[in-house]
Amino acid sequence: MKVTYNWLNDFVDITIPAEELAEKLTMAGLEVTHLEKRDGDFVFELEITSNRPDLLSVIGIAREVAAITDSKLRPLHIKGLRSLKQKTGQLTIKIENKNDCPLYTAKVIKGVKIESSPDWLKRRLELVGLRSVNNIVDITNYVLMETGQPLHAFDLNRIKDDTIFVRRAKGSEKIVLIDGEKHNLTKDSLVIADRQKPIAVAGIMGGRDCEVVQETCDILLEAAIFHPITTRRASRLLGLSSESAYRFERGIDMQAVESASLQAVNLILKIAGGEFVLSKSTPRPKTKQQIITLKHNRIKRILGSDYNIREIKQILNALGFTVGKQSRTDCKISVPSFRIDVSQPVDLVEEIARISGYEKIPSRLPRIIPQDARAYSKWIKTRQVKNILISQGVNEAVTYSLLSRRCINEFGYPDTKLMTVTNPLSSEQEVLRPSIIPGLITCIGYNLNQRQKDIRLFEIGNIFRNNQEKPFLGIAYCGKEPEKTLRLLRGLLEILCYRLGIAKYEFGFTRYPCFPKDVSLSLIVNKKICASLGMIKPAILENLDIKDYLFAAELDLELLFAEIEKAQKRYIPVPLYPEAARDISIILKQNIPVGDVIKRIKLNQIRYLVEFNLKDEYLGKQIPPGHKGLTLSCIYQARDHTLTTQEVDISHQRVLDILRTAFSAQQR
Amino acid sequence: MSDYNIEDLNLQIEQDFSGISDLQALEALRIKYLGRKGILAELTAGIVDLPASKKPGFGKQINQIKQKVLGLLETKKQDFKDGALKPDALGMQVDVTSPGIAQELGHRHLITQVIEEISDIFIRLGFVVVEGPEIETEFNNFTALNIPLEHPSRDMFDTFYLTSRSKERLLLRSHTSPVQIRVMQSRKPPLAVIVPGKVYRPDAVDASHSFVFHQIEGFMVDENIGFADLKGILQLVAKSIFSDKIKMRFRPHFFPFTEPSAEVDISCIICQGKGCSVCGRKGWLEILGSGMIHPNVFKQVGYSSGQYTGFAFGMGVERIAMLKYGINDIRLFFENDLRFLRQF
Repeated sequence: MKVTYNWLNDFVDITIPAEELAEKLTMAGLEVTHLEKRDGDFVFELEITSNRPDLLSVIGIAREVAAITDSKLRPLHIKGLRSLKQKTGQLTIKIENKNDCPLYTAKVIKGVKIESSPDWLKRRLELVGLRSVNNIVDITNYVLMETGQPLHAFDLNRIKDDTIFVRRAKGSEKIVLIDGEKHNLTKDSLVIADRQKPIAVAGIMGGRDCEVVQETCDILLEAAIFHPITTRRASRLLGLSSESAYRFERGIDMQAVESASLQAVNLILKIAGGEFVLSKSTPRPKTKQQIITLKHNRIKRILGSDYNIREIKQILNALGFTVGKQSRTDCKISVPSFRIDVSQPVDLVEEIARISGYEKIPSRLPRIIPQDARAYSKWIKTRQVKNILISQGVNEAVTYSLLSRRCINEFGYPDTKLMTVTNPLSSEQEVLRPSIIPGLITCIGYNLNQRQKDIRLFEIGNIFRNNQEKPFLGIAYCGKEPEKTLRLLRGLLEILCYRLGIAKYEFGFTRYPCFPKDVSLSLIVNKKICASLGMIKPAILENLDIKDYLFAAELDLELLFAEIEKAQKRYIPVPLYPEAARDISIILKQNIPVGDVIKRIKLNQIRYLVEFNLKDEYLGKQIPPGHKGLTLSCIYQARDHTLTTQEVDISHQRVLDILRTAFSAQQR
Repeated sequence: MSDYNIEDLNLQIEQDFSGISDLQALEALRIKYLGRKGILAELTAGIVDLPASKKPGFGKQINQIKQKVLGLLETKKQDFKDGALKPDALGMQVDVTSPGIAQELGHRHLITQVIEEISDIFIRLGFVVVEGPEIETEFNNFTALNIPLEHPSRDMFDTFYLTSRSKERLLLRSHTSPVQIRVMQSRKPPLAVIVPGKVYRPDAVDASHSFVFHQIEGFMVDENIGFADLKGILQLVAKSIFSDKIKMRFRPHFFPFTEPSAEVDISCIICQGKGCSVCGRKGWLEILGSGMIHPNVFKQVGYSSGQYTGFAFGMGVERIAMLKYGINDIRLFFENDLRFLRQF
């Protein structure tokens, strides 16, 4: 909304410079987004919030100016006018549904002379961003800007049979509007029509057929109220917006329709000549005077500071409210009809705070009572997980949770389980991610293009499958050596479990949409698949033009968090006696899983053996084909004495025996 | 005696002591000078042969040398204990300009860092962190928050809708405020809650818009919470996030779910309020929206607005991060360029 300093001055004596006024308006909630000096005037551009249609007018803003600068508003004085003929019958107004159009007024002026507007009028309109058309159209726009009441002038002689219908459009109807565009109408659009056809889309735009043009000599001036939702729907449907639609959508002051219309007639007679011949209106709907009881202590409760009754009265009066009966504890406030946003005591509290200034409200710190936050521990666990991953050198990424269907399909997720957006901005953001992996892989692709190395990323976020959202952890690694990269990723999951206190877990083979089946593992905790990890299928990477090996893992955080809840670390006494470490190097058939070897040794519960683990795995010239070389580490320790070499020898021999007999391992 | 010139001896001692590398060598020096057959013993024995006039002077000199050796022994011993000498002694050359070597750690994403930083401020004040779902109902996202379905106030909140099999229309929350409704429906005051999370709006992506971004919502409800409390809390928080020096202003605004409502500006952290390109020459930067929870919202969750009052506020995480760290393009947050991630 644009308004000028001089135009405001018509209604209120402004005693402060434009810059200061802009500052004051901003601090009263009418944010001045731009102030410009032009043609000896100042143009203010204001952001008017959607609850305040009364401020979409010069008078409305002038009223605020009066309130915040302690000045008096000079209301619009309209010369009383009587039309020549009061007879009915010459014009009929038929309203199909009073809800769509609660009030319709029409005024007929005959014998006007269409010319271009006088300079002062042109300039004012141009300053507030409106293009001058001709004197009649300009006057309707001028009154619209001044009073906030949209008006429309029709060429009377083009309206068939002197009858105005306000009705919903029929399905097949079309109209060419003054913007020159042809529009198909539906029953959602309210139209103004004559006996034959629509002549305007109500409250939005007039039709070209009845437009006021050079040859026009008689006009019908419409001032009406159209329902906000009806207007909004039609405006959206037709993809049309206009100054008048903007105001009808937000609500118009019922009381001001007639005065705005008369103001326009006055200006027309003065500027374009002619005779005011007829005034016609539907019955004015009954409106109830709204009275709000404002308790003094409520102001104090909501704002935290006191205001005396004189101050309250002064503010509310300046804004057009009437302060009525007062008692020691409350007062009755009458709300002016243009303040459709005010309906409860808090609305008045805001007015008081706003005009007296938010800066007058003191600041203090509230007393905060401790709350039981146990139910909200997910946040803390998520932070724990993030910290462990960070400590392992993995960087956190945040990727878009809306992706393209094509991308999701490439990663092997079927359409049936996806959740899609009905109104995406583009097909790139159509589907809610069913997995974190595609986003992370795309990120790695981006970083590879930027010639980055050692890319290891993770992300924690929600995934969406089967109408459900769940928190998941996704991890992606990039590496040149596939075996090592997979083991690094697996090690990351292991250390995550270990640090979170989850002691029991195992890995198995699984299937996952984006991993080939033999390079696809699952982390099983408490018999449930908690995570899947594997190598990204080469075909996917080919599509993304990625040449490196990529590995990824995805972990169900709800399952993990449930295990953390159960996990309770217990102290194990620190050993008092030294340990003895021995390594074993063996050659083993390649098809024997290392895990089986470790499990078997552990099952035998060899005396003093406290740790048995894979230290290194290798293939090379020294290893016969079909075999692999392993280095296993053994740690022996007793709780009650220092082991003798002999004791260690006996146990170690048992390990070697089992390896030889059960797995035909050859010692190297 | 004449074998030893006192001055030479002093030099000799200094040289000997500066060259030693361990305690063993130190012990050898002790024996060399103070031992039973050491140099000082030899010198002392030689006093007898001196003329009587020179005896006292020479005795004094010997004593000074003895004290010197004892002192050096003590300092060196202490040096070894402190470990000061060993590396040097091992032949290491310390280049004071040579950079250190560090273990490479991962980086939390800047969005996470800002969310955690802000949340921690509130946690210390006694707020609890609650997270809500990203998929919401129309009721929680709009209706319960006093945003009528076909009203221009909805224009502030363009929304992604979801195809859904259920009867109720589902959408991607366009703000974190629906969590207010969820919490208030399930709990009774007193409440002091902070809600970080992802939100969605169909905005075309450019340097300052993203269709996915993050917000932090906060609200407090109790029997006597006033606008003054909102001011107090937000001033504390803004100063904690930015700096003690910032100025703040509360500007009336309109949000359907608060009344009175305020937008909060801080003095521009780039130009200190003088006006620059970042603040659009205004000197102020808008950082959040806030207000007193609207009685209509309380009504929806069954709270009595006669009994309870409360405040609520919401801020954009990316916006705060961009202001605080001087980031000029919101897309950087979602590109995840390692050269970006590793800066924070």
